[in-house]
Amino acid sequence: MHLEVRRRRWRLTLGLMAALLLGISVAATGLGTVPVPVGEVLRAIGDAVVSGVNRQDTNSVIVVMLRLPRIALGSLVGASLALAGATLQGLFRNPMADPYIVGISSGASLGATIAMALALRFSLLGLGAVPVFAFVGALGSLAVVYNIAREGPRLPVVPLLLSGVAVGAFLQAIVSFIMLMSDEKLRSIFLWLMGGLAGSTWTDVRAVLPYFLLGSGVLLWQANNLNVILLGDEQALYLGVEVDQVKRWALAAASLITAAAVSVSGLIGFVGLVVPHMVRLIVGPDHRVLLPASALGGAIILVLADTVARTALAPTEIPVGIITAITGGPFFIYLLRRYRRARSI
Amino acid sequence: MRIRLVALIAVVSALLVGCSLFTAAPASEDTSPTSAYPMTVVDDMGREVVVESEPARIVSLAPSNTEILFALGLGDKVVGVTNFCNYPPEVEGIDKIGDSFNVNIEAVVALDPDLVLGIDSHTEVADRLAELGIATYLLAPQSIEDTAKAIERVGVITGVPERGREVAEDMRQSLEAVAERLEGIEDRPRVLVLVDPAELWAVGPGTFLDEMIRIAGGENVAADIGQQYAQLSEEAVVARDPEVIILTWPAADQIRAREAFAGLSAVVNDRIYVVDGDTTSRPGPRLIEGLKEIVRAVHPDVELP
Repeated sequence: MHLEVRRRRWRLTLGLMAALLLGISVAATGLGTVPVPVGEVLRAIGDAVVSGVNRQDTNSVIVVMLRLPRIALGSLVGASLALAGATLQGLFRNPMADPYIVGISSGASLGATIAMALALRFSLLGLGAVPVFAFVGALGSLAVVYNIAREGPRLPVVPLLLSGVAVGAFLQAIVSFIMLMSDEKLRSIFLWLMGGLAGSTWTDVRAVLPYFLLGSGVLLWQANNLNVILLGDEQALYLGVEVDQVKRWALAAASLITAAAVSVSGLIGFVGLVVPHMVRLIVGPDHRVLLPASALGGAIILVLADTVARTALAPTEIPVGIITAITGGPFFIYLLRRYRRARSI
Repeated sequence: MRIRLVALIAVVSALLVGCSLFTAAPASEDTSPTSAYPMTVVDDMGREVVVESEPARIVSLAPSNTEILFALGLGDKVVGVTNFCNYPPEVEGIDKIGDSFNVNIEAVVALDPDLVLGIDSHTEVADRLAELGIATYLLAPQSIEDTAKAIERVGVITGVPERGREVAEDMRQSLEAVAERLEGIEDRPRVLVLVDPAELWAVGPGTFLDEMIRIAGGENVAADIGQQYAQLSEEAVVARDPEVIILTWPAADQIRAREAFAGLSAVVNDRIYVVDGDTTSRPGPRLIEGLKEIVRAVHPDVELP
């Protein structure tokens, strides 16, 4: 197919997905413990834009200060995880890769667990101890994994995967030990590990947004190089692509957006693994469309899942990680069976 | 006709306004200083809380707080409770805001409360609610006396200081009456309290149950576990040989069924007791009931007031 035709089709797909995300977000803002009609949602948003939030107006507070930041954060986190997952699946040429594969999740878990077990209370740029520790833990474990795996300037893929698994298991054991020793904190640690968006604020959104913009910018810039890497390291070199350079950029950007997402939402599973596969079925394997479409798909799926998490057992909340795993698991099995039949993924 | 109607309405409303002005004036004079709103108070987590006016819509984030509010006679002002709240029975019909560990902030906001009463694990929830302009006061009593003091303070901020003092004083007197009955008793049986008999989770120091065992004249064999709750091995239980085993769950058979425990003093002498887990752990006015249950288990021959 001619590139121009393909590009036009890509733009159409991305436009439709963006419209779907917008529609779902508006609908989700109306749903919750207290249903707010769409007209009232729009009025509350309008009022807030014009004159700020009126604390006496319950609907305004619920829509503008509780639900919108949560939906915005859900979109950002879902987009980050799916984008990172799509990148790493391409980078490792491995369909089982997900954003947590290089040990980011266990590093973040350890950081968050320490902050919760010690009941640390401080605030950095409006963020509490838990997200700050989780972020530092995530980047710390990535640095360790990276340095174990690299061979001089080269970054071979298999050692990277294996050291990710090994460091992850080691850190996870420490997390389990701290949980065992931490009495009444056990439940909050457990809930964090399940992943959830409860209690999201605009501060969280502001904290994650710059990392997302920076990281997704780098990944879109490297999208075509990731296509070449899919051919194999050797082929890529023949085509004049600095393979290790591309890997480093992609790994750094994917890890950064994952670390930022995890630090504000905990470990939300399956979005980063399953969404890129779903999107690949629709738009094909070209990273120039796969990456942005995965980001939009991840945002759509996570906002949907979080709406279920908020409303299914209201007023009790289900950690959204449970919803994504319960629906994502069977879907992934379906994909595997399809793969076995058609060898198409 | 229409003009007369308008005039009538004007006169009536003027009278009504006049009346309310008159009745309002004397009322403000006899307001005691303790119930002067807006009131700035510091809660158990060291947070400064401003209560703007006498709370009329209160949300409780823990079963203990719900019990305190009802004991203060404020049941009709409680508009939200947790899924865990089961006492008094009137809580059944009150809106739920999630459970204590997993507070649904949206549900709290929707109830439009003027006071939210939480516990120590709610510092983040409290910060969030404060941002939204909702006064949130956290209680973290560590002992029976702490609980009495907490009840007094809740009485003050909710505008019923006398009732708060009454309930607290009642607790202190009951506590003293129980302690008197135990005076002069030398025998201090070794007591093990298990909150989970299947997994052998024992109650350690820093808990109400530990305090109750001490007041009841017993010795907590798990006083050395270094945390509030910890899992013991069968071996550790055998080595401590408790003379009394107290369970907060009706599962005495599970203890008797363990072969390793056949020789334990508590098993041989059939001194395994089941107590109510709520009254022995919730920092509220019913702690005294819980204490009496523990005394009956540790020293069954002592006659209680």
